[in-house]
This record gives sequence, structure tokens and C-alpha cells, in this order.
Amino acid sequence: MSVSPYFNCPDFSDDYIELAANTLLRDYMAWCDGDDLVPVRAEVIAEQFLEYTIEITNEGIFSDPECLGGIVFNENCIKINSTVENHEGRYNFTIAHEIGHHVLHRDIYLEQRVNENNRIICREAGDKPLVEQQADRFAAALLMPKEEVSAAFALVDEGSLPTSTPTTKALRALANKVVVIGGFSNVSNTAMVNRLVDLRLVSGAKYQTGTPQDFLRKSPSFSWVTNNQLSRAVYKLFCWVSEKLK
Amino acid sequence: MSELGFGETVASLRANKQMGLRELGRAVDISAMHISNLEKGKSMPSPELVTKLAAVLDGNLDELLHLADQIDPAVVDVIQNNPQSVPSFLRSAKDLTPEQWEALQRQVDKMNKQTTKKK
Repeated sequence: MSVSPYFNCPDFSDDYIELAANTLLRDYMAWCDGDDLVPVRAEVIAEQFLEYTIEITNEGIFSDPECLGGIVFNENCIKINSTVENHEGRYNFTIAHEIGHHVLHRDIYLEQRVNENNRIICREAGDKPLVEQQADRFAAALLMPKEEVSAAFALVDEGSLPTSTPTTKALRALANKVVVIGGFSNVSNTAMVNRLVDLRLVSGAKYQTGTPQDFLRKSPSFSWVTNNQLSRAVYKLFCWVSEKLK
Repeated sequence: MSELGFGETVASLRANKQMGLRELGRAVDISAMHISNLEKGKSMPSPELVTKLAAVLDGNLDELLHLADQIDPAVVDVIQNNPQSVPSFLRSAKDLTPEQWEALQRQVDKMNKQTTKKK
């Protein structure tokens, strides 16, 4: 059991996360009664099935384009950076990632928040906190269900399959074929490459890009964030003035 | 008449149609963030945008215009094309009961039909 830097979160196994995503998908499919599973409509799942509101914004913390999305548990609100809205894959993955926090972390977070101070959690490029890795894994499992990806992969002609040590280019070409064959029209090639690697459908490759950021907070406003940003701006101004006075 | 505000009504109509924010934005030629801001009450729409939203969401145009504190551009045209008679008529009709308004509407519909036949 490892501990996240933000709150005590179990180190959920990949199988557990896959199961959690599949369970949500199964419940959603029963609820919507007749929709096609793929492409998985993360927006509809979030808004209509889980009854979250989605807010697309460039305010506060989201003035930073690196901060892609966040979830406010006690307001049932998912916030998405407006810079993402025109990127089909990134938009859906960000929503699916926040759904992952809802499914995996909401109850744990709300139980523990009593002892927490207001704070923002941003993912840095490089090492991701455990909760963020889990939400990413969940998002991939939700948008690219194992069975559907495996079925599409099986239909890729053998000549298109990469060698034992595939290049990035070969992986991307393969991912594109799986996206087209499987009808995964709302996921990016990068996400599909990662999924193929995660599912061990391709081997000898390590491929992970993107530095999305995320946050969890407990206060109903962004005042801490705003104040912090103001402090940083004042600090930058101070540095600039000091430099000029030298 | 709905007791919801404009933003909530749009959100409710969008949910009924199972449309995403981006899907609705594309349908009415504005960004998803603009739709999001409208639903959150952070901004209010132009009458032209309300007209588009009503058409795409199958909403009641007059109700949406009322909730958005806007007047149908077509109504504005009628007033501007009849700068004396329309204001005068509205002033004299201000105390009519709902039933009288309905009777008046029927009369106007009848006149419209007669005009169409003559054409």
C-alpha cells in the first residue's frame, strides 16, 4: 500500500481500475439503453449519468493552459480548460480522467478532507502523483475498453504489426489503425498508443507523453489559487524591479 | 412558464437532447466556453443567439427571450416599421386580460389569413 502525496489513497491495482471503469460503463449502458458503446461519450456520462456539471473556463487556475482540468467534489462540478475544447482527444480524456477521480477517489477524499487545508494539486511534468496515474489509467480504460481495443487490434492485418522493438512512428501508425477499425473517434493517437502498451498488445515499447495537470480542492471558491497567483505575480514584479535597480 | 433562469433552462434543454457543450456550441456557431458561461449565468446572449438556441434545442423562443431579457429581432422590426401605431396600440392594450389578448390574437390570425388569401 503506497500513500499519495495529497491524501491517503490505496495503491489500486490495474485490474481493480479496469474493473471500476468497466462497471461504470456497464451501468451507463444499462441506463442509456441502446447507445453504441464506442466512442464512449465521456461528456454524457459525466453530465447526465453522474450528474456533474461541466464548466469550460479560462479563469483562475485555468488561465494556465497547462492546467487541463479539475473536479470539485462538493459542488459536483468538473472544470475543463478552454484551451482543450478544440482538441477532441484531449477534451474527452480530461473529462474521463476527472470521472476517474470521482469513481476512485471521491469517497476517500471527502472522508479525509476534514484535516486538510485548502490547496491545489498540480501535476508536474515527469513523475505523476499516484492519484493522477490512477485517474489516467481509469480514463484509458473508460474510453478504450479492453475488449473493444483487443477486438479492433485483432483485425489489424499482420503486415501492419510492428516488430519486437517498434519505433514511435510504427506505434502511432498501428494506433491509428486500431482507432479507425474500432471507431474510437474521440481518442488521440497518443492515448491509443499508451493503451496498446498498457494492455501489452505491443511489447518492447515505453511510450508516455503529455503533461496534463489536475487539482483537487475542498473550498467552494478559488480564492486560494487566485491569491497564490497574485503572490507569484507580485513576486515576479519584485524580481523585475530588483533587477532593474541593480 | 418555467421558473428556471435562462442558463438553467438552456442546460435542461441540452440535457433533454443529450447534447454536449461543444456540440451545442458548434450548432450555434459559438465556443463551448460561451455556452458554459451562459449556462452558469456568467454572460447573457444576444437576441440572435437566443433565436438560434431555441431552434437547435427545440425550446420556446418567446420563453427563452423573456428569460434572457431580450426582444425578438422580428418584434423590434415590427415596432420600427410602425413607429407610431405599435407603441400607441400597446399603450392602449396594456390593461387587457389574458383572455382578451387571446381574442385579439385570434382576430389578428384571422386578418393574416384574409391577407394571405387576397395575395
